[in-house]
Amino acid sequence: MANTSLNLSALNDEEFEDLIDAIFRARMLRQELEQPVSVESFQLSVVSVSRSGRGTDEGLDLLVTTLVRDCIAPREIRWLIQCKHKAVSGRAVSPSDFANDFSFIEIVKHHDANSYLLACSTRPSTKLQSRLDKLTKDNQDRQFIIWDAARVCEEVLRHEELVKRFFPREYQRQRDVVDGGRVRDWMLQYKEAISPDACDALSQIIAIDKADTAEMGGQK
Amino acid sequence: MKLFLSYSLSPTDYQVASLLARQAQNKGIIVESSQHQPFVAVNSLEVTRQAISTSDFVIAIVSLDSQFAIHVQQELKVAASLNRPCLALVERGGYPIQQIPGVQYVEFSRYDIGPALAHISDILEMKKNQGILNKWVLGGALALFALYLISRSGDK
Repeated sequence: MANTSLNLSALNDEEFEDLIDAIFRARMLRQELEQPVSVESFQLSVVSVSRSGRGTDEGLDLLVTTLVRDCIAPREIRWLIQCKHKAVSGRAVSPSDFANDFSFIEIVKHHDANSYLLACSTRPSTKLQSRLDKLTKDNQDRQFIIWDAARVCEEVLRHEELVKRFFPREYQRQRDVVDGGRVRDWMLQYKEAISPDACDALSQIIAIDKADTAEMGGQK
Repeated sequence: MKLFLSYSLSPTDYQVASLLARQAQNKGIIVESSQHQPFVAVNSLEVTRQAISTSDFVIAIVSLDSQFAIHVQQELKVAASLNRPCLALVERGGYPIQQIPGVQYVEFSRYDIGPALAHISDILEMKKNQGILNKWVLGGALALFALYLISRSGDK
């Protein structure tokens, strides 16, 4: 499993699904249609998120609709999303983790989706990755994508509210790290290397007591 | 002020980009950043180019064992071609980033961060002497903060 600061193994299956659901809800499109195309507007391209009920999910955990635009027309993509949570065992997700008769293309068609995303809390096996890569290559109008644990964690870390909700200890750790006092102590540790101008610069983005920066300034 | 954050980080450093962006946003700085996944039917580099062209400063971070250093290199090329002030933090021993004229590089070791801090201090001093410190203050500050965060990455 990816060695990130987020401990996915602390989540149960339902919480992991909640987490994936929350990642997309955090990217719900708001007023971006009126805004120029930017990286930020692509980050917020989710139009809707719906969740399958409990019980047999027929290969579906979430259905997420995103909006893609080019200079000709906007169009929607309906992503069928399936979650596989193996973080506790640390085992890779392999084809055997799906029902014997599981066909990725059929399940996408069955749910009237355009593309498929597997979100897993570990990593895919080489065989599964190859299979989905081949499906993407062979189906020009559909994509079959895998998010591994590293990608899931990267998505979570983009949204402070998700870190706070699902990983409260990590949230507190991050809060402590950016505490002005800790940054000041670190600056003091390196006062021989950091010039007065650099101290002043850093104090513009971190709340450090002016007296502290004055103490450090002029050390170089 | 608008910042473009270009990064390729190892999983243990993922939170560096988010904390850096958050801190900058708390100070009223608009932050856009690398998107490493392919967009469906869209040339993502063109979107990135547009984001960089409207940015006042570009900071790049490449840490060891990261996957997207080559993307960062492409973004640095774009930044240099657009004459954006650009500071790249590159961890020693990682992907051999090709030096691009116009990009200010700072090599660092997370276990001995002092020389990199001194290098950033020297860059700010040089920009001050050139009379363009104002353009570089926030970029330099965020680069220092990024090094702080990286040095704290393993903290529990």
